[in-house]
Amino acid sequence: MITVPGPAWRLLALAALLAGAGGPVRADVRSASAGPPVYIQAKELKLSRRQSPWHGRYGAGIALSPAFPGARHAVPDLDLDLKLVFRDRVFFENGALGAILVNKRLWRAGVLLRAAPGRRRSNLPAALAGLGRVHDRLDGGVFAGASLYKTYFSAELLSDLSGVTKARTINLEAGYIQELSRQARLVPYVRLKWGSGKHMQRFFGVNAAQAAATPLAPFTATAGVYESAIGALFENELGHHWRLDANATLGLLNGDARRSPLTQSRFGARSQYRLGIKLVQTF
Amino acid sequence: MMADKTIIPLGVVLWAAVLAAAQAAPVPRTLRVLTYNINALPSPIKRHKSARLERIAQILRQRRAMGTQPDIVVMQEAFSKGSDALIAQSGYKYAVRGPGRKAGKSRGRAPWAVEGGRSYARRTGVQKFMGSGLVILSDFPLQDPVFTTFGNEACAGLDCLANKAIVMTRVDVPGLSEPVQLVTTHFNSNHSAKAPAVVRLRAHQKQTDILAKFLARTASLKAPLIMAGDFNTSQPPRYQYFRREINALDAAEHCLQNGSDCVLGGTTTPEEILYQTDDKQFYRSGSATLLTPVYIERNFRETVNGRPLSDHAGYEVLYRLDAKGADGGR
Repeated sequence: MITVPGPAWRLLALAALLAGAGGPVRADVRSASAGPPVYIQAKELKLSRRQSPWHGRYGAGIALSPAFPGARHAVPDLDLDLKLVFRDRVFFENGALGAILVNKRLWRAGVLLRAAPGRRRSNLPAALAGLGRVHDRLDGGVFAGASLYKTYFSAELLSDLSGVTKARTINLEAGYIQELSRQARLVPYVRLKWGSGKHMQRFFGVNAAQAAATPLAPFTATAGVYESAIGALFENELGHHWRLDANATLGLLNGDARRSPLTQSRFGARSQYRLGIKLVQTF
Repeated sequence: MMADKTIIPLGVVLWAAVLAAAQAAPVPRTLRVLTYNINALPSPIKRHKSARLERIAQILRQRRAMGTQPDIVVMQEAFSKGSDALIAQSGYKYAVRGPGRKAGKSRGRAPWAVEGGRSYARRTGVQKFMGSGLVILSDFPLQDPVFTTFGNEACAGLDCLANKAIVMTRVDVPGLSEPVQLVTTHFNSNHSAKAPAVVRLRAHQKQTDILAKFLARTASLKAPLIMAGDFNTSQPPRYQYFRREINALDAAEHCLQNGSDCVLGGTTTPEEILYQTDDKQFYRSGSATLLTPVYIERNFRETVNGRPLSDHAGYEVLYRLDAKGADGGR
């Protein structure tokens, strides 16, 4: 049981101890240093095991996304997830293959190749089938990201390398990571997408042939910020290597994407919803 | 006359015998250890530090002039340039600095790292903006200092931005047959870390695990051990886990138990040395040296220009050093 010490004899004993501890020897070894102290360099003792240079995740789930850019309706799709990272330098992540060339404390930058979806004919309503298919394409470009504590900002500049659209796009994203608990994290973010004239025309323009084949009026789309979005990414650890990921985004089409006859038609909408949920295993 | 002639040489002989005895057995019977979180965070997080830090150095010098200075001072949050001046002016002969910002590669992911989205553009580790802030000052020679950093996974919230660590050194106390092992550290803070409570608690427990592993690798059970630092153990679950995992006695518990010959100094209350404090000292006797806390004081509580010297008080323990007998001592 803890109690407060207090008897006077303890003070006397302490005084005797301190008096006895003094004397010529102690005075000598405990004298003041004439200047700054002598610094002794400490060595590191490594306690952690060496980690594998590889890490990543794989998993599957379901995603709901607009049937085509500007569509009113969303269609479900299988969402396969694969991420492989080697030494935090080379990565394959959800269809993007890249390398981090600069990795500083506050920012990083690199190059990447990414497969980008086009427009499937099967997702077009019969009345708009005349718009035709846009093939999936391969984009290549550069990215840069800045992080400060739990806040991040990223930018990508991509060009179509496959010749499908011969267009350029820019994606900007900023977010903040919130720790909800030991297992759960929520990342609210904002996104902006910019497209060059060719990109905009391919997805939101209506040329003469398309106008003839559909009820849509001809329309020439020009470059600009075509979508601004807010969203949230949710990650919940289910076990040491298992997690449940969910993602929800609400995008609003802007500029010529918003003015496009495609978006203005009864098959289109300014709001673009994207939802996804998947189970992944990390390693 | 004859008696006078005899007495004078006898006095000289006795004085010489006392001196010889003192030199032959230079065992300091006490060791005074101060742990002090000096709250010298870099500007602009913490301003107006110079006067406070100068005053701390001045107090240490004044106490040295009186012969009551701590033999060993361990400091936490000694980040700024002002703390360098404090160290230089404090009058100590030997110093060990804990790891800086870049020391000890910070491995692993941040506790808040998110795998999804475009994670390649985000940093998955923790950005270290400050070093460990740990300093050991000693009047006695320090040998073989080693450190380990807590790393990315054993931290929570804002504390992750400092490269928090554990430092151990051996102190060659004159006259002792074995060096005293001295450990200092600064554990993850609680509310000021700005992270969920469960994350903070888990980080603290991981740091305790790392300390236990560190001690198992570096500390000898034969040599006496003193652990002094800002353990941030005022939250009961943290303290309980720490005591369960770390093989050492709480100096305050010993001091306050019945039958102890320990004294509290000044205005020090039992609460502020026992469980309602983050600053603590723990100890373990060696095979040849018995450590006994005989005096504990919370000090450095004055103000300079209306500001306290730190947001912590000093926590000073005077240990009595006794040689153990052949039977292993008491």
